[in-house]
Amino acid sequence: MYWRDKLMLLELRLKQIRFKQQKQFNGSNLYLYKSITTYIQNSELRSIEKEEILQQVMDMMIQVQIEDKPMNLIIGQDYEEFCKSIIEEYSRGESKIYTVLNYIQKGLLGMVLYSALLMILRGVVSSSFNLGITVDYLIMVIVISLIMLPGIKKSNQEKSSLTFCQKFYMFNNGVTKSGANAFILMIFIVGLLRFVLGKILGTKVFNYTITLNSSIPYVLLIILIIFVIEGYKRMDNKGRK
Amino acid sequence: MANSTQILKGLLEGCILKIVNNNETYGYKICEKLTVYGFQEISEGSVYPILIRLEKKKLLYSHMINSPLGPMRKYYYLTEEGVKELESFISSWNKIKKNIDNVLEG
Repeated sequence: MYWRDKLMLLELRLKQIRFKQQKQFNGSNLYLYKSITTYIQNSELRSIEKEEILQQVMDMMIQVQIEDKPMNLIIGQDYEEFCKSIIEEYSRGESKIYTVLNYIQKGLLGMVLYSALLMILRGVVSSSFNLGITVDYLIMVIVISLIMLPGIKKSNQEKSSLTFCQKFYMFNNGVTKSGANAFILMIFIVGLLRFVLGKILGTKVFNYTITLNSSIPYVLLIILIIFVIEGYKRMDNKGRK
Repeated sequence: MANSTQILKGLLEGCILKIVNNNETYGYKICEKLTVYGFQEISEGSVYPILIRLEKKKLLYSHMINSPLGPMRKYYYLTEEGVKELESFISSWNKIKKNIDNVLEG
């Protein structure tokens, strides 16, 4: 079995243990653990790293709870600071190139997946086998993948300690700073792209449908880029281990 | 003394290496031992991040084993580099301690 498969199995096992064992926590500790989980889950760490962290934190927290000691002993005064320092330690040595490529890879993956989803939805709605999306939708997909989703992740970290009701209240009364910034940036970039494209190619271009057949070479190129970046990331991770 | 916390945190790395060197151990036990030795305030919230750092620096390695409490637990051990680092820490500390003692004794 390849080490990659072993890691996936380990990750799955850790996840199962986490879901089962978190029931041991009392009310306030469960709330604290869930806040830590949300913060870590919304970081840019690899999924296996996230599971390892959550497993170790859970083990320590359960022991503190059993021995009836204060949680400060392992978490400190501020759980967000605790999470930040963990993420910082894991990301130490990560080059700027790695960070940028990781961002591009996730953005491209999001673009491919959301475009495919939109194509299928349009196909189902119009009962047509001719799959495609308009330029307008494509712009939206690009901006969502590259700006909105990373912004939402950051925003979720800032809201990690809130209950569902509080989050719902916040959603209706303005979002967090990161969420708001991402939203403003998204509107600005959509407007800018539409303005530039409209000036160069005319406003009719927004209704032009890009079919799946015509975009296959570009999709393949994007998938190839995603794989090349993945290869670079793995080599970089091995080098840092 | 704004940097005193940072200095103490640096010293914590050496202390953690020493604790791991004495026995195979895990996160919570290290926190507990540091508290017993009087490091409670400074070690709060910083032991686990330091363990990650030491492991990344290849001064420690770990094995994950099922703990009696349910979750998988990482047990830490010193690598050869870790042993060398610990020796270097002890030697540096003895030098600093001697120098400071000399200053204080005037």
